[in-house]
Amino acid sequence: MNGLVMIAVLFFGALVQSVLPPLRILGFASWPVLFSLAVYFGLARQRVEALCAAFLAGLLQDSLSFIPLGFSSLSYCVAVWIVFRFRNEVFIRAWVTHLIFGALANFGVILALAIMLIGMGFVRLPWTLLVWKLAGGLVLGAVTVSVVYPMADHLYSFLGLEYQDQKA
Amino acid sequence: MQNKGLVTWLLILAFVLLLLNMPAMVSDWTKSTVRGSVAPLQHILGSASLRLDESITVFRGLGGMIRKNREMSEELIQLRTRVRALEAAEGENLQLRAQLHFAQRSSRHLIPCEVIGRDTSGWWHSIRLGAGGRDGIFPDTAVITSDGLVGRTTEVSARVTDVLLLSDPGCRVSAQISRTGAHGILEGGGEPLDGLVRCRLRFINKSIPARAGDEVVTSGLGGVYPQGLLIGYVEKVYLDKGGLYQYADVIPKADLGMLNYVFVVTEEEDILADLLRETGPVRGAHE
Repeated sequence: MNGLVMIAVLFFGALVQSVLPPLRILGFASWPVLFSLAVYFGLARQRVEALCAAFLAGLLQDSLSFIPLGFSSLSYCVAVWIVFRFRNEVFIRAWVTHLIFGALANFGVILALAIMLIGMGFVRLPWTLLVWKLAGGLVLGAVTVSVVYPMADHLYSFLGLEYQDQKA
Repeated sequence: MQNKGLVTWLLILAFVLLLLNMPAMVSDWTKSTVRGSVAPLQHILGSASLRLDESITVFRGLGGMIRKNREMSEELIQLRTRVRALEAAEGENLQLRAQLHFAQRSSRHLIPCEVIGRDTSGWWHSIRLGAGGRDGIFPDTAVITSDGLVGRTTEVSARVTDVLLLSDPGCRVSAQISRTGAHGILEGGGEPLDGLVRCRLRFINKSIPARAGDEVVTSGLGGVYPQGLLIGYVEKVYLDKGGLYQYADVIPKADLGMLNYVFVVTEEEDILADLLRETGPVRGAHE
């Protein structure tokens, strides 16, 4: 059941992300809906779920764009691993946590993707636009995770699929 | 517990490494399958978003005009493309009459497509169309609007097609200046923060001066873009640092930020050309 809900949620996230246009004012950074869902799973769910979500979110992201398969999965898995590693040190339901984790994690993911895509010649981007995009990624990461986390959390509560550690 | 965690991480890492090292064919198939499964819902969502846009326009007092405008745009593009095709055909015909040696002639067909999404990653300038291989679209074909060239198709699955826009730095087009016939390579300049899309036409012969306002069209070289498709107009001309070539900023005629409907240009081989190839060019042409 958990797996099915996770797939449905990611699928829906991919759809939402596909109709939200990248923002010019933020260096064409895209709304990281899929990644925010991966961060939610990293913060609030079990390890296996978190990793599978990161892997699948990356797979969806790459399939729906020109990014070579595996780049986003790798970035998302590393980011979610870091989120998972530090989640016991923070209040996972506090909005400040979502804000900070979202911003930093999305910044890291964009940086990692930039290194891979530019380094391998898939993308040509002036460094000024890259800096702008990274700044945009910080803002959009903070905003998107702050919006996506409570929604996903409510959905899981509504379905009665809360993770045991969360209930305690 | 610690070991279980480690095993999970290692398994995922193995999957990621597998994904990164997949053969191109498997990778393309995986992408195509995922895109195909998302496509129907994406199409619905994209259409809904488009209808919402149109509804807002209706409320702003432009109702009724939208459909008519779309119909007229479609007719206009058909006519413009036909004129350009005829012009090209006329030149070609004259050449053929002189030489009686040609291999192939082609006719253009336009496949109307709805834009159902934009690039989700933010790294490329691309759009997604709600039509694909089953509608007769192939990779590396030109995409136009009533204003001019928009880009080329890249990844095509059964129901959706991704189009790389002219503004993307990775999009290169063999182009020429209509007035002088000077050739060059047009490449996207990205989309600057001020929002005005510019492309750069490089390697223009410096002995054939280009000037601001010159019309830039596709040259037909390279095989992807048919000859004579309008791209845009020269904004400014520069001399290359080495002094060997000119290069120019070109403003695309089509508004790449406001694309709702586009046309994919496909070329179908003329049956006559096939016949000529079978029977021999000279004799076949006379008959």
